[in-house]
Amino acid sequence: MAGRLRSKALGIGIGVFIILWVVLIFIFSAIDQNSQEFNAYQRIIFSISFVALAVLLLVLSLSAYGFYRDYQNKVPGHKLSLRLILSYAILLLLPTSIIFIFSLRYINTGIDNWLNLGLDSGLAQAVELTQGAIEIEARNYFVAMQQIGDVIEDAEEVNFLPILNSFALNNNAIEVMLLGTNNEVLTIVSQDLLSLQFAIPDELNLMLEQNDTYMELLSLDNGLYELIAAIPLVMNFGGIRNVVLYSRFSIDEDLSYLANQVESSIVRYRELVFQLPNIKLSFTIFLSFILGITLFAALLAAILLTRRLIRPMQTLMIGTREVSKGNYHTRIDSSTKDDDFGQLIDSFNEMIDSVDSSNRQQIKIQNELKREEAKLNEILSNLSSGVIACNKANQIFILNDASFNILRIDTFNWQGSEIFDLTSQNRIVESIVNLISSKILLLEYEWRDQLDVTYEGEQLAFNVACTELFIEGDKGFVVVIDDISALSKAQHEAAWGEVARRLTHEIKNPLTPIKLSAELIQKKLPAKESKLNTMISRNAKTIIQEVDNLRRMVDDFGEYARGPVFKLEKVQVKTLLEEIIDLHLHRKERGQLKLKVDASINMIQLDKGRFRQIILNLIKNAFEATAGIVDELVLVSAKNDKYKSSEMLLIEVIDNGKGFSKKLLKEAFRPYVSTKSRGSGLGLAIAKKLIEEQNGIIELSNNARGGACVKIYFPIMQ
Amino acid sequence: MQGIIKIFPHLAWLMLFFGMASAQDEGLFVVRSVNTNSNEGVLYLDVYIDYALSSRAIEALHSGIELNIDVEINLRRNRNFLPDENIATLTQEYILNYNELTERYSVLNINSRHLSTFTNIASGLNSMGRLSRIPVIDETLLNAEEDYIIELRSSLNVRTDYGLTQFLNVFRNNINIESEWFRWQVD
Repeated sequence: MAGRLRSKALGIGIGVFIILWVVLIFIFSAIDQNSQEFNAYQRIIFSISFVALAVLLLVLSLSAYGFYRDYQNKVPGHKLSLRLILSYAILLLLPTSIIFIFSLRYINTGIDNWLNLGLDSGLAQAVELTQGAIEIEARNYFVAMQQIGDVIEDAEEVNFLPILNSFALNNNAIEVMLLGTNNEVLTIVSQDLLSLQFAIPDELNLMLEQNDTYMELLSLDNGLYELIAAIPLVMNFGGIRNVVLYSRFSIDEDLSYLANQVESSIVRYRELVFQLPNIKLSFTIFLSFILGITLFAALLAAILLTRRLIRPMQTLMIGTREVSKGNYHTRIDSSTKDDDFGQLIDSFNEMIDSVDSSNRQQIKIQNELKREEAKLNEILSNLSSGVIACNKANQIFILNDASFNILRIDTFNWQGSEIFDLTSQNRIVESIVNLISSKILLLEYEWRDQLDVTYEGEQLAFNVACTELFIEGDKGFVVVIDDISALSKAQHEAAWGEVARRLTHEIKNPLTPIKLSAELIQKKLPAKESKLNTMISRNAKTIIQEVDNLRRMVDDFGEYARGPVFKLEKVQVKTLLEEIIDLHLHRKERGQLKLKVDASINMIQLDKGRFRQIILNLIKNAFEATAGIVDELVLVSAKNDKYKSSEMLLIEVIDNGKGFSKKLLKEAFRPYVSTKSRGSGLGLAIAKKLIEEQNGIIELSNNARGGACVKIYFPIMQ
Repeated sequence: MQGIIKIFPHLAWLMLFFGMASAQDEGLFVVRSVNTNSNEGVLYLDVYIDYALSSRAIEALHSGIELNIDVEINLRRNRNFLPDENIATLTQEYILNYNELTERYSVLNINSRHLSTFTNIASGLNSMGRLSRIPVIDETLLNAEEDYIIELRSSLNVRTDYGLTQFLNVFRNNINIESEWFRWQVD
């Protein structure tokens, strides 16, 4: 807004200045170097000049301020503008300064030289010459006056009119008078009596009083000269009487003209000499004024020209800045430019078109790449295998989510880290990284290996495969890690099952005849007691008991090895648990066994028989653990709970016994791990197997107040 | 700064010296006497002004420059709390000139176009300084109950044909002279 106002004021100012300047030129041309006219117009000229100068300075200040603002605001092209304006200023100042200095020298010395050409003495001599010429004529008149004076003095009659008339006619006198003692006119002869304005000069009276002659040369307004002369006379006629003969003569016109020319010349010359310092000063002022106005006007023109010259360049620079900011839609209007700048702007627009097109293509490719990257990330994050990709410097650039799960890592800022930085995370990572580094050291990038790691008492197995990777011309590698622990375990369990089946088959078959044989021996023993019979009977009994033990063990083993055959159905857990508890009615009644079931629990799908077997087994274990404790208590509870953000049914069997030892907590589910002297060590292993085969989860823990806690999670039916 | 302070007394003496020197040579116009008299209902004025020209003015006169000597006479009505009212203004204009050829000084009364010549400048100035019977106003135009003031001033102006020099003469080598206003009340 301010800039627009400034531009408007600038335009008006320039217009006013041009008008004033034209008016000045018009006045100067009108007065036509006439100094008197200059005097008449000088106030107007000075007023207009100063107003023009003020307007020019105002306009120049406005322009300079605008330029200063642009410079302060670092408007594009401000430095170039400054350079151009300075260049223009220097180009202007140099020649004008030289002209100014030479003009001053010319004014101060040239005019003096002109006036020192001997004019003064020449004019003085001309004056003397003219004076001499006039004096000769005046002397002639004076001699004639003296002659006629002698006649008047010697006259014998008082009528002097004819004498004076004759004298006037002969000497071309304008007036001839004979004055009395008191200047009264006695006789007068005049060429024009009607316009006679006679006045006796004071000096004439003074000189006549001294009885002296008087002569005065008079310069008239019309350029003519007159001679006034008076001589005292003494008339003897009728007594002595003092009279004055007064005459006024006209000097010859030609001589008057010449005298006038000489007079005016010397006056002009003297006046010129007298005024010379002021004339020089006025010339200097005038020259400075004109030069100042010219300089200011030129400077203004330089600023305006520079701005005009810079404007398309500024537009281009602004466009370039916009493009550098990424605004590729920027286009510069070149319709008003039909010159080189127009072509440049067209070229710029074409270039931006091309850049814009390339940029759009690039954005498209980038978007595609991003989509592909997102896809890859999605695949990697959903991949069950852990993927770690490294560059040549072993820096990780891919580490998918599955890797965190497989390697049991909670958090790790892997970006920019080397793969070896992972080592400190845990035993699993350490083992895998050690494997990788051992291979890389041998420059092996294509390999596959299996790694068994014991981690927190759990036997884990990993399949690690490495492949060479080419990234932007450099070699890298990608490692794919699979947790095959479950598979390995399944294989392990399958192997155990097979062994169990064979063992059951091979061991169970001979047990029946052994037991029968022992029972037969017992039966066939005579009733007579003897030492031998007692010994045989005791041994037979031992055989039968051990065979029963062995059979039970083999049955348990067979149960563990038996394949999953489930009869899944929707069940109401509360009812089922109540039935199970009722089997231990005597303990329930004694308050040793309690059941707590939330009313809001959902139905679940499971094999009722297996479930009953599991819970009974756990209750049995719990009472075995609390055997010998006075206030033994086993609590069975059921409620809805969350397991790893999934809504599940939680069944807890809690006792107030000694709880699990630290070692047992780690190994309780392993077959043949038992704290009981006669336990098979398969109870919890079978329970775990049965639960997991029904999509459940079993966990062991100790209560804070002591005692063991077994938690079983089953998925709730939706 | 201290240097300027130190040099200041010397400068002051220098300025005083030149000031006095120039004052001596500046010329002076003094209204020596004024006399008003009434005759046949017209108020007349007799004035004697002492003209002393500066050497610069005399140099200008001898250089052929005409000296314009004006005598301004104002009749004003005195008004309480308000500026005086100008009743009449009269200006007597003279041109003092020196003729190189005739070697005489001439005094031209512009108002009457009467030309007088003198062999010396003192006679010319003396003649010019004695003004007699200058009619100021018809007394019937004056109110007896009002206070009237006559003021008079004489001034010398140099008019030159050389354009800007007229302007410069005001500031540089000024030869113009102006007397103080001489004021008196009309009885």
